[in-house]
Parts: sequence; C-alpha cells; structure tokens
Amino acid sequence: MITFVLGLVLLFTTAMTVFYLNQKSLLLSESELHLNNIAALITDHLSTLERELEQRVSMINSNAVIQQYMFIVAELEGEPESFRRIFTEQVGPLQDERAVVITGNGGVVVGGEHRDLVDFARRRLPAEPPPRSEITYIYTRGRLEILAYAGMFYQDRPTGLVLIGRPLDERFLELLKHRSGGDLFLVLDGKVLHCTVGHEGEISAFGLEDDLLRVKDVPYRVRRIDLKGKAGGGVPELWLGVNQQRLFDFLDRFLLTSVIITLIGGAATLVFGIYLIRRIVRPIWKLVNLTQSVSSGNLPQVHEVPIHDEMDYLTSGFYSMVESLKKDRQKIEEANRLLLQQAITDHLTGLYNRRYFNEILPKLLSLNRRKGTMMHILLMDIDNFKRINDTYGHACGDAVLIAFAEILKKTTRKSDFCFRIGGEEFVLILNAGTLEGAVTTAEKIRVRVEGERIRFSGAEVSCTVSIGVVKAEKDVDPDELLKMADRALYSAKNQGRNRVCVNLD
Amino acid sequence: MEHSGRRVCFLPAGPVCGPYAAVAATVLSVLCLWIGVLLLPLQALASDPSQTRPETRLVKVGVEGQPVVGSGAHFVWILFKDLQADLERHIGRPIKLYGEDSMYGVGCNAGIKMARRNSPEMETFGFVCCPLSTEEAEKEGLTVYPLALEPIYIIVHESNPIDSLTLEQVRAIFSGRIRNWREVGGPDRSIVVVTRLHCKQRPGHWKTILPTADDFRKDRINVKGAKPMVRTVSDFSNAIGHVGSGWQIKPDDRIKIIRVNGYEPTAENLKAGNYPFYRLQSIVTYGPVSRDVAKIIEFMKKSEEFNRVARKYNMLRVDE
Repeated sequence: MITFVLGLVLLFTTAMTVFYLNQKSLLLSESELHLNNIAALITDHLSTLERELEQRVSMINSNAVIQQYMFIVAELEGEPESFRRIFTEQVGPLQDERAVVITGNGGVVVGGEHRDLVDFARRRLPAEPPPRSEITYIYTRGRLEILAYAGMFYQDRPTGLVLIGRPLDERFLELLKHRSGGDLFLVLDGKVLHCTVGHEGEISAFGLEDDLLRVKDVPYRVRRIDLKGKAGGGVPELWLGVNQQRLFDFLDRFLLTSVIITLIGGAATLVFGIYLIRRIVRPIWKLVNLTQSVSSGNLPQVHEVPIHDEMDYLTSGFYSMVESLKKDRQKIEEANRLLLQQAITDHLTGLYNRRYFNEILPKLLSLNRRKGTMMHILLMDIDNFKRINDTYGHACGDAVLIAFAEILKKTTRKSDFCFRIGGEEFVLILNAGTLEGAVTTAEKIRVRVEGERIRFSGAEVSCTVSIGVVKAEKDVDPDELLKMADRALYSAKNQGRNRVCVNLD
Repeated sequence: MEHSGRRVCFLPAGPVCGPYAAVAATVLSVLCLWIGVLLLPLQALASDPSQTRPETRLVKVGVEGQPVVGSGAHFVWILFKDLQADLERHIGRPIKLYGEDSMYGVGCNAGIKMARRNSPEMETFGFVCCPLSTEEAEKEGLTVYPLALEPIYIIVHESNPIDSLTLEQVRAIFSGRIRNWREVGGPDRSIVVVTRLHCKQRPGHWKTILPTADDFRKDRINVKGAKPMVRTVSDFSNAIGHVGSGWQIKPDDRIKIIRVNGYEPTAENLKAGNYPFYRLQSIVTYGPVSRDVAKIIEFMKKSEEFNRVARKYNMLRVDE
C-alpha cells in the first residue's frame, strides 16, 4: 500500500514537472512571439512619427511663400521676424516638436532657443542640403529625439535648412510602456541611460546573459529597436524588454492553482471512490460471490440488512431470494427423499422393495467383501397366502402382509435390510453376524409369525412362513445368491412349510 | 382509348391543380385590368406638359429676368462693384459680378472665360486689367472695350527713407542693375524686388516698367497676386514692388507709394504723360453684344458716375 501511494505521488510529481516544463517552454515561445510583436508595434509607432515629421518638413520646404521669405532672409538681408511670422502662420503651432530654421551661412532664423538642434543643423550645412526630408535620431538634453530635416531652396538655390525634432522623452517612453506592456531601455555603450523599470540608478551596465537582461535579478527578454538613420556615435540604442519573471510568476501561480485543483479533485475522487467501493463495488462483489456460491449449489447463511439505499434493497432482495431458495431446496430435498423412499419402499408394508434390493445387494456384497465381514440372506414366503386371499379377501391378505412386515421390523437390527420382493415373498439381509445368528433370527421370525393372530373384520387369521437361509460367500454373484436362498426356501416348502432351511452350498 | 363502348381517359398522377390555377389567373388578370384602368388618369396627368416641364416657362422668364453676368480682373471688378447699383438702374436688370470671393476666380483669364460664355440665355462679359493683343482678340473672337488707364504704384516699406525714384532708377532696381538701396540714397541694404508678372503674352501693365520678364532680375520674388505683393513689401523693410492703384491699401499695410521722376501716380500725371507706369482696364465681350451689355459698356465709358469712381482710384478714362 505504501509502495502504491509512493508510486502515485511520484507519478503525480513527474506529471506536474513535465507539465510545468512544457508550459514554461510554451510560455517562453509565446513570450518570444509577443516580444517580436511589441517590437514591431513600437517600430511602426516610431515609423509613423517619422513619417509625420517628414511630411511636416516636406510641407515646409515646399511652401512657396516660406521659400520666398527664406530667400529674402538668407540672401537679401530680409528681417527674420517677418519669416518667423509667416512661418508660424503657415506651419501652425508646434506642440511637442521643436523647429529650427537656419540660413545657408548658419544664421538662425527660427528656433534660436534650441541650441542643440541649431548645432546639429549647422553641422549638416557643409554637406549638400538634402532636397527631401531625412530622418535621424540624436541624444540631446538627456533624451532621445527624432529629427526630420531638409534643405530649403528658392529657384533651385539652397537657402538654408529646416529641422523639426520630436523628443522621445520619459513621458513618451512611459506612454510606449503603457501601450506595449514592455519596458524600454536607453543604452549607450553598454550603460543604461534611462529605463522605464524605475531602477536607472541601480542599473549601470547593460549586459546580456543568454539573451536575457538581469535587472536586480529579474530577467528581461530584450529586443533592440532599430532607429532609422541614427546619427553616428553618441546616440543610444533603444531596447525593449519584457519581464520574464512576471511570466514565470504567472506560471507558478498557474501551476499552484493546478496542483491545488488536482489535489482537491484527487481527494474528491478518492472519497467518491471509497464511497463507491463501500456502497456499490463491495456489495456487488458480495452479491457476485453469493451468486457464484448459489450457482455452485451452496446456499450460504444470510442475515437481514438495514436498508439505506438501492444497493441495500438489492442485497436484501437477494438475501430474501437465497432464503426462498433454501426453503425451496428443503422442500425439494424432502420431496426427493420421499420420492426416493417411495422408489425403494413397498408402499403396503413400508419395507424396501425389489428394486432397492437389486440395487443394494451388490453394494452390500462388495462392502462385506472389503470389510471381510459375513452377510446372510433370508428368503421368506408366507405359506398358503393365496388361500388367505381367497378366503378372507385381498384386504385381509394385505393386513397379513403388513403384520408380517411389522414382525420383521421388530425382529431385525437397524443394520439389517428388509425387502418385500414379491407378493408374499420377503428378503432379509443380515449384515455381519454368523450363520447361527442368521438361523436364530429366521427361527425367531418364524415363531413370531406362527404365533401372530391377525384380526380382520371380526375374524382372526393366522399364518406361517417358510424361510430359506443362505450365507453370502465372498465371490458369490447376487443372482446366484438369491437362487441359493430360493433353493433353501423351496426345500422348506417341500418339507411341509413353516420351517427354516439353510443352504450350506 | 375505347373500353366497353366508353372512352376512358387516364389523368396524370399528382394533385389536380389545373382548375385552381385557371381561376387564380383569371382573378389576377381582372385585378391587373382594373389597376390599369385606375392608373390611366394619373398617367395622363403625369404626362401633362404644363405639369412636367415648367422650365419652358422659366427659360422665358430667365431671359427677361436673369442677371447680366460679369467676371474678371480684380482691379476692374472694384470699379464695377462701386457702380453696380447705378448700372442696374441704368439697364433695368440685375447684374451679377463674380469677384474676389468667387469660385469663378479672379483675373484676366477668368474674365475672358466668362465673356466666352455669352449666349442668348445668359448675357456675359469679362474685364481684363491689361489690353489684349489684336491676334489674341481675333483668335478668341473677343471684342475689347478699353475703359481706363490705371497707374501702377511703385511701393516700398514705409520705413524706407526713399520717397522718390527716377524712371531709370526704378528700371535699374527691377532689372537688378541696382541691388542696394545705398545706390539710390537709401540705407546700405540689399534690395528685395517683388514682382507680379502676370499676363505675360499681353502688352502693357508691368511691361511699362521693363518690357519682358527676362529683363527683371532673376532673384526676384514672384508673388501670385496683389495681396501677397503688399504683404511681402510690408514684411521686409528693404523690399520694393508694384501694385495697381485700384488695390485698396489697408491701414496695417506698412507700405508707401513713391514718386517716379518726382510725380505722384495720379490720373492727371498719367494724362500729362508724367507718370510712366500704368495699365489699361478693359471690357471684353464675345459674339453679338446684347442691348443691355452695350448699355453697360456705354455707361462705363461715358457716364459721370464712372468718372467719379475712376478718380477715386486715380484712374484715367481712356477718352479723356
């Protein structure tokens, strides 16, 4: 039992471990997919921002009025204030963006307060200004910023550069975190400049172990977000990270819940199983055994059962059936016994009949042979019985036969067998004993019969009996033995009846 | 088939629906017939010309009551706008003028397009701010009716100390031979030349300053109308431009009109030939001119009301 329980526990533990590892693998795979999707989402979001900035810059540098005013300011000493006025009118208010316009010689027309962008724009000037807007990322004032810039032209003559920046500040990164569900890390040369996890001060190095970033022992699965046209060195990388520990915590909670549910379920199943065994299986097995016992002929002892449920009804019913069977069997046995008795008994005298004599004589001979005991046969015939019948009627003859049988019963031992083998012929088998004892018994019978007075219809009838005695040798044939007895009887008849003759052959 | 002296007919198996279908078809036919009979009067009513084609009468009314339509150059439109009430009273019909707020557009080409829409159903005319060449008029089938000469103002920023330039200085500035105000006695600042060189194939107008567009300096600022012209010159203290006298200068426009050769751009100086820059305002028509359009042209050329409005904008009637 202990082995079974231990095996069950081991099986359960193994199953849960396999289940946990499988779920963990599945979760990691899904996490990988999820991470890629979030990274694609953020890349798309950044692309949208880039396109918006590009469109805005394109709208500016293709605006005819702005082109003209820029030319006047850049080439013809026009007042920058006029340009700023028309710029504000044409471009509209800037919210999160920062705009800078500089002339070809580096003069600031718009956005002089944004020194960092002005410096960036001036660094772009020596190169040929791009006719179409371009995108780049810079790291300035402690934050990442998308820049879209394009050259400004009037009549194909370059007049300056327009630049619009969209800071990706903490608010923006927090917004991205909120929308994507992942954390963002700004990393420069392996150093975390900013992250949305909230431990910037404690995360100094950005080192990956097995593709995982560990932040205060919490593993993050990370992806780098490609920044279009990153402006050389000094610009941090943007990394997206998904807290893997959170997934494992979720898995642990899931596993714990599963174990609890499984244990509760198992306990419930066990209780239910015990209930089933006690209330259904065990009674059914008892009934099965009982049925087998009944079918094999045994009717066991049954007792009354208290009734609680259907099984009790069934058991009780079955027990009742067994009781009924028992009673029926007793009746049948009684009937059989009676039938057997009737089959081997002469109905008039109550002695064994000829059929039983034929059946039992060989068995008795065989038994005596095995035991080495002696057996004697007394063949008896009531003398002149026909005359009694003719004189007093058959009813009187029957009474004589009954009286003779009673004498035989009283005279013989329990171990002896009395048969009525014919109308007035009787056989007595004496088991054990000697020939002298058999003769004595025969003589005793003869004497009692001779002295018996049978009253019938006011008349008094008497009779005698002739008896032939023979000793059953070891190898004698039953028929031969009966013939020998018959010869002795014949001899007694011939000698005047009412006597006992012994065949000593 | 014959059987026992009787003709026996075997019907096809299935439900016997023939009699019911015949009855239903008859009922439906009668119903349709009655519906048709009932709808006939309605159909006849619907086909009554007086009920279905009221536009026949409207066309007739339209010819009598529809307005005469005019559209075109802004600087002529303002003259018509001032005289609209007088004109309508004069011809006894409404006049619809499409000007600066119209989807038909503003400008000489819009005027020519409107004139070409002239038909007996809609009488139209156009107005242009520069004279059409004979070739263009013949090609388009247009008739040109000159109305007035409009001086072209030379404008600078109000802060510019220059008040007067010679004809040669103006031409030198616009051509780019003079590029700094210092050269004409002004501050040491580059000159921003702002131009509006429209109707390039037609004579007159800005061609009184320089004959072709190529004669203007290349790095000029070309604007698309009088409004941006005035705005640009207002915005830059070193700018110079030109605009017709019909343009209504607003108080916040920071421009000033300078004299040329010492002469103000007035009708009198135009008439005397002292002011060199001007353009010819005209009416154009297409095809036969209706009686009312002819009356409008006559009114514009000869009426005292036109004189009054022309003077208001320093314009000179052509026959003066």
